[in-house]
Amino acid sequence: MAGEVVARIRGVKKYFGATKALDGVDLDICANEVHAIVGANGAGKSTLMKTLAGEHVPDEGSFVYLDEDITGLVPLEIQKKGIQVVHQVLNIVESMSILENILLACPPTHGGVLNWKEGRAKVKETLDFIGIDFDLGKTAGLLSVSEQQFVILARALVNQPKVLVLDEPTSRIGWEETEKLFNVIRKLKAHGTTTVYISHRIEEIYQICDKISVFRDGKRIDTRATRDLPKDELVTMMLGKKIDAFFPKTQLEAGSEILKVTDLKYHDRINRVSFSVRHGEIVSIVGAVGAGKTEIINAIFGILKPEAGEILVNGQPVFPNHSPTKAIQHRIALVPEDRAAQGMIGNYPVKNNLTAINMKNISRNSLIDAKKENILAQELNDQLSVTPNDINYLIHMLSGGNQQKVVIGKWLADAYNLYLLDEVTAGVDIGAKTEIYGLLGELSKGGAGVILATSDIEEAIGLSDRIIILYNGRVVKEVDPKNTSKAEILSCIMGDEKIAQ
Amino acid sequence: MRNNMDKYIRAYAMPLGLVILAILLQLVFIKVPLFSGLNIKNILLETVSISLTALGLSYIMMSGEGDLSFAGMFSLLTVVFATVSNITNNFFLAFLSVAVLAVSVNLLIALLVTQLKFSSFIVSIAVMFMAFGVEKVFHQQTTLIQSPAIRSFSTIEFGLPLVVWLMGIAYLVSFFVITQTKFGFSLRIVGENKNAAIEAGINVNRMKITAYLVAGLLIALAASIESTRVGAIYQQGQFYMLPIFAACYLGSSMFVPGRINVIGTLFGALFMGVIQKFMNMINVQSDIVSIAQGVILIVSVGLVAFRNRSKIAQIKL
Repeated sequence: MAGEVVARIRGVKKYFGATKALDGVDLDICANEVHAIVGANGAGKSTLMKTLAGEHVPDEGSFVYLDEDITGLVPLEIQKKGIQVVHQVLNIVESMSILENILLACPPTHGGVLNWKEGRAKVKETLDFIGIDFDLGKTAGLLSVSEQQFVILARALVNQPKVLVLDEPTSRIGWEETEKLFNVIRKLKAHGTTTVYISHRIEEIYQICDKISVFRDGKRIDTRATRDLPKDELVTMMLGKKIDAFFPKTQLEAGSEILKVTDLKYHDRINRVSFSVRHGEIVSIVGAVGAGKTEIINAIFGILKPEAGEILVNGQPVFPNHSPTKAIQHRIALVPEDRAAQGMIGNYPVKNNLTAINMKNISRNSLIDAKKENILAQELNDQLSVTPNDINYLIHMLSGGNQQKVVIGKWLADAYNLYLLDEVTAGVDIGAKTEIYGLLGELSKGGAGVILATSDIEEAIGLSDRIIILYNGRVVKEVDPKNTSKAEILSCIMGDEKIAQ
Repeated sequence: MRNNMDKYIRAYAMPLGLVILAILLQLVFIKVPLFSGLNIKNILLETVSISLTALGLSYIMMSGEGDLSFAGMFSLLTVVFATVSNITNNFFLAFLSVAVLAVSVNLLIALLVTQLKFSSFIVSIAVMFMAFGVEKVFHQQTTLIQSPAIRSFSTIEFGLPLVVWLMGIAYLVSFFVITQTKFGFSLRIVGENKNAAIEAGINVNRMKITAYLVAGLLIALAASIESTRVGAIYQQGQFYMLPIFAACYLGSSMFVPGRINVIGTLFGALFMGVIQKFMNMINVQSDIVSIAQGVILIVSVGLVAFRNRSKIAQIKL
């Protein structure tokens, strides 16, 4: 299975101030393998990846690639050696064409003059390899996020790298695209390219990876062949402790109806959608990327103005003049899909992020009471066990899971009737995930209704009382997770009408 | 097909509007010969310094920074040009001194912006006021350029005035560099998405510094030409701030909304030239001229915002 060692990392240490991000890491990456790097948030995966890319120079240790010491080379030089990193953040130049975006780093030139004809041929070849067809002149900003993911992939593959590092490549794409990506990875392996695959999605790792290296607290704990490492052992290794109940089992009687959506319509994104949610109920909305989950959530929260339909909250219609302010007055809370853009105030301390929507609780006569603010923030922070436990820490310095806890936590200071959670566990490690699941259980126990828009079917089955399946903006089916299999839900999501009926 | 038509109409709406507006003006003010041969030449001649400075500003804006220093610098540079040419009686020495000054000031701004991460907007405002101040300390009144040889520089003609040819060459070269070379491609990436540029291994700071240096050269050329054309120098820069900005922003409404581009800036500058000439010809007061220019600037920014709004709606939902 494994070929010779391509990249050899020895004793790499990296410090950020007093924090040890990498604490003496040894790692061998071999030819012709798909090598998974797993670990909880903050385990050092991203730092390791940035070290591979040349964006971080290790404080100690060496990085040898094909018997050549390349420690301390700049990213461009490392790219030229044949190591390509696909970052989690999609750095698309929105106003440029797909062609230009793919050839960003290496446009073919003759004496400094660009040669797009040659570039076009090169790009066509790469896209054929991936098995995707783009109108190369189209502006990249008009593409969907999952299409953009493939543009970025093509950007990495256009120079035929020997090592491809993928950081959470499936966090923004649907199942069909994931399958396509896996095909590319298999093809690359057949062509002798090694893939380093970083993901929180354990299912995927078992599907595609040959080897798993587990990281924790800046150290590599172990590397094993995938078939020799059972899933529960992997999770224990990642977290350094055993998790007993992954999904909290809360069985309770649903109360009165809190939300009723009737015939909601928005262009072709939401097509005559009706459903309801009761007090104490967790309802999942599942569907492929672009099925309309986020649109429905946004319509309920007043961000998106639907063309037709009615939304009743506790029996009261919210239209006309619905808005986020009104939604909050109706005691609706939102945890948005795009955490960085909509969920948090990036350059501000955890404290302000927690209290921003709770100004009434911490102010008197419109003046903020700093003492009250600190007390409230500290209470919430303790309740959520955000690490580090420091309310003055800037939120964008936290790991993804901890950021998400803060984003959810701001809604915990007051009681809300309905929680709208959009891809709440995307990019969140399994430890923080479990904590978030526990929190949802608490909320529904307290009598709140929860809508969970998710593309993670296991999560939907494990957590919810009912699952609403969307396909192309329509509700295909509503199922009871207790007597529905994952495969059934999956085929409904894929638009398999026969099973749906 | 319909999409293609739509694309072209959007891209060329601005120059088309320019032509229609000019024709309308001509029809309404039938007695004013706005487009006689002589007038077209004069409009071009008067637009040379605006369009060269706007081109320089475009480089800076394409690299993702902003600049206001050009207004003050333009004033200062014209005075320096006049003074040096009166001392030396040599066009090239005068130009050289102006170029050295402009390039070093821009280098200083660029270093502050790239190395120390100062806000380019604030730094350049400071430089603008400093340049105005320095100019006023040394020159309370009009400076005349003595040498008739230097004064006649802008009257040299080969079919069109030499300086118009120079402007044309500057634009042609810039168009080629920006659209057809790796340097131009990298510069645009830096301006559009800095993180993508870093990932692509582009030296962002070097690109920005280069943009500032090119801008310095272009403004030096613009100020020299302006000095020889006017002959009597007194606070030349203050009337140019608005038209130069307006040229860039009008230009950015062509093609991809909000993206500064060479062709757009040229059309924007010519448009501002025509408007200014027209207002001169019907004897509009200078205060009213600046009000009109302000309106044009707001309209052009509004055009970009309006076109972007539809684009954003398309992407987000």
